[in-house]
Amino acid sequence: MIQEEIITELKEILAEEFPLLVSTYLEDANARITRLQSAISASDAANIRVEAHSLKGASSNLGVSGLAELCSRLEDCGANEELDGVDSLFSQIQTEFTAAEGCLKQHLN
Amino acid sequence: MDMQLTEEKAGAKIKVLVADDNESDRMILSSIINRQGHEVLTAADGQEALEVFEKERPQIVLLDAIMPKMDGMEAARFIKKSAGDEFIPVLFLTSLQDANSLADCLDAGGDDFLSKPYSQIILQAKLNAFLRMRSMHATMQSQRDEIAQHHRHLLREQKVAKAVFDNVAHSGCLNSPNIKYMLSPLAMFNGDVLLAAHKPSGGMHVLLGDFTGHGLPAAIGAMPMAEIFYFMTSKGFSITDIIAEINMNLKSILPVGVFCCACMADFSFEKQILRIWSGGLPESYLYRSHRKKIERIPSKHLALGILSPDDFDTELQVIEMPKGDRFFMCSDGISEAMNSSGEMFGEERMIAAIEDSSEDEEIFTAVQNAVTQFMGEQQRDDDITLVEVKMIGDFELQNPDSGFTNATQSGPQDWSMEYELGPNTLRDFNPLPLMLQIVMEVPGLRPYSGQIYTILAELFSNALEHGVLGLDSELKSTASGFIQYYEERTAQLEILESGYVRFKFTHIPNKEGGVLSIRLEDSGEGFNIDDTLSIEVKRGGYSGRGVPLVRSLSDSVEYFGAGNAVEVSYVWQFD
Repeated sequence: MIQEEIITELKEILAEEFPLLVSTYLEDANARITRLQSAISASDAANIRVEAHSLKGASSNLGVSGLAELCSRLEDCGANEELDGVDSLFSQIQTEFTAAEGCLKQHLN
Repeated sequence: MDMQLTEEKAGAKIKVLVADDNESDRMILSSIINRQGHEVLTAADGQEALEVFEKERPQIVLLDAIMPKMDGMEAARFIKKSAGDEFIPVLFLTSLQDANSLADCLDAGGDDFLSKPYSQIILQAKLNAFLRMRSMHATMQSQRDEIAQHHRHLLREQKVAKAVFDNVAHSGCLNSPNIKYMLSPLAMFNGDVLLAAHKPSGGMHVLLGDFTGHGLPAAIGAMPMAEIFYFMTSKGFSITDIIAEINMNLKSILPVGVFCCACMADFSFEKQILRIWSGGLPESYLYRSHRKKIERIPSKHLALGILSPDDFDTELQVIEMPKGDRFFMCSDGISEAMNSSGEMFGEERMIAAIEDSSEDEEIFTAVQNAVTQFMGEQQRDDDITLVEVKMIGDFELQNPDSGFTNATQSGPQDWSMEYELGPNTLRDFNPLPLMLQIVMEVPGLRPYSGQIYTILAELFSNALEHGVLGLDSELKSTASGFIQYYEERTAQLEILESGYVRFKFTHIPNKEGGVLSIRLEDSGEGFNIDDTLSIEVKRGGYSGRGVPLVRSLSDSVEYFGAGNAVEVSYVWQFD
C-alpha cells in the first residue's frame, strides 16, 4: 500500500521538514478528494481528469502507489469521457486514502 | 565566455524554477535542488511560472504538464521565446504515459522529462547534464557571434578594397563609344579584369585578364596589373613593354599555381592595325564587317605570371583591321557556361551568335542574349566577361582622358638636351616613353602629349627605319608588304652594329605657352628631300601618313644636310 523505500528517501531528503511534507500532502489530497466528489456529481469529465491527475502525481511521489494507481484509472475515465463506474472507483479511492493516511501518520512518530 | 557561465562551471549557485500545482511535489523538488546547492524559485501554475521567469531569469525550468490557468506546454512556448538565443533547458514533470502527450511536450519546446515518483539521483544527474549543455551552447553562440563579427569585418574591408580597386581599374576608357563590355562578378571581387586606356599617340590599349580563383586573392594580382597597364600606356610604352612588365611583376608577387590568363590588344586608329598578345585565354574573334565573317585568333602563349622574364615571349600577332571591324575577347566563363543538362555553350554557338546578327551594332547584345538564354536558370559557376572593341578612324574620339593628370604646376621651362642612342641601345630600347616623360615635365604642356608623342614617334621611326636601317618605305604600300616590312625591321635590328639616332630638344617659354623644338639626326644616308615629300603626299597609302601628319601637327618642319636631319618647331599655348 505504501512504498517504504520512497518514504525512507524522502526522510533523508527533507530531514526536519518531512512532517510538514506529510501534512501538506494530506491536506492537499483531502481538498482534491472533495473537489473530485463535486466533479463526479456534476459529471464534469474535464475536472475529473485534472484533479485525478494531480492527486495521482502527488500520491506517487509520497509512495502511496495504490492510491496513485486508482487515480490513474479515474484520470483515464475523465480523459475518455467514460463516466460509467466512476462512483465505484471513487469509493475505492476514499477507502485507500484513509488507509494511506493512517500509514503515513505512523511515520511521523 | 561570459561571467554567468564561468560561475556555472565552478559549480556555483544557479536559479531553478519549479512550477507544479501540488505543494507537496514542489517541496520534494525544492529539497533535492537545494541539497545540490542551487536556488529554487516556485510557481503553482503556468501563469505564475511566466511571471517568475521574467522577473528572476532562472537558468533551468521544471514544468508540470497539467496545471491550472496555463498548462505547462503553453508556458514552455513562452519561456523558450523569451529566452531567445540563450539556452534555457525546460524539463517536463509528468506522469503522462501516452506517446502523444509526451510528443506534445517536446513540440512545445521541452528538452526532457522527469517522471513521478521523483528520484534524487536522476534529477541531479539531469541538472548536471543540462548545465554542461548550456555551457557548450553558450560557447557555440559566442563563437558564432565571433565568426559573424569577423565576417562583417571582412565585408567592410572588402568594400574598402573594392572601392580602391575600382578607382584604379575604372580610371580608363571602358566607356568609350567604340567599346561594349559585360562583367559579371561571382564574388564581391571579380576574378576577371578588364582594362582600357588611350595611348598618347591616339590609339587604344585593351586588356582582359582572368585570374585563377575569385575574390581577394584574384583582386590582389589585379591591382599592380591595372597600375602598370595605365601608367605605362599613359607614358607611351608599347604593348610588348607593358605585357612583359606585367608578366614580370605577377611572376614575382603571385604564389605558384596562381596566374592570369590574359589577352592584350593594341589598336592603332591611325594605321588601322591590331596587334595582339594572348596567353591562356580562349581564342578571340575578329569580325570582318564587309564579309560578315569571323576570323579566329588563337591564344599563342602561356598565361601571365608563369614564365621568368628570360623565357617570356612577347611575340605579337599583327593583323590589319579596317574601320568598322570588331574585335571580341572573352574569359572562359562564356564558352564553359552550362545549360540545365550540363552542356557547355562552346565556341561554335558564340560564332553563330556573332555571324547571325543582321546589324553590326546588335552583335554584342545578340551574344549576351544567346548566353543568357542558353544557361536558363542555371547558376553561373565562373565569371563571364565579354568585350567588343570596334576599330574607328583616327581622331574620331574627342578629348581622350587618360585618367592621370599632371598635378605639378612648377617645373622646367627653359632648357635643352641632347640624347644619342647607339646600336646596342637601338636594338631593343624604345626611347619614346622616356623622351615624352622629360618633355611633359614642362608645366602646362601635358594636354599636348598626344600630338607631341605622334610627332616623336614619326620622326623616330623615320630616323631608325629609313635612316639607320635603310628600309624602303615603298614596301609599306601594300598590306602584305607592311607585314614583310616589320619582319625585315626586326631582322636588321638584331644584327645592327653601327649607327645612331640623336634627339635634340630645346624649349623656350613665352607668355602664352612656349616653343618646343625637336631635332632628330641619324647616321643614315639621307634622301632626296623634294622627291620623297611629293610622292608621300600623292600616294596617301600606309606610308603616306608620316611626314604630312607631322606637318599638320607642327608649325614648321625643316630638313637639313642630306635629309638625315630634321627639325620640327611646335608652338603651344596654355589651355
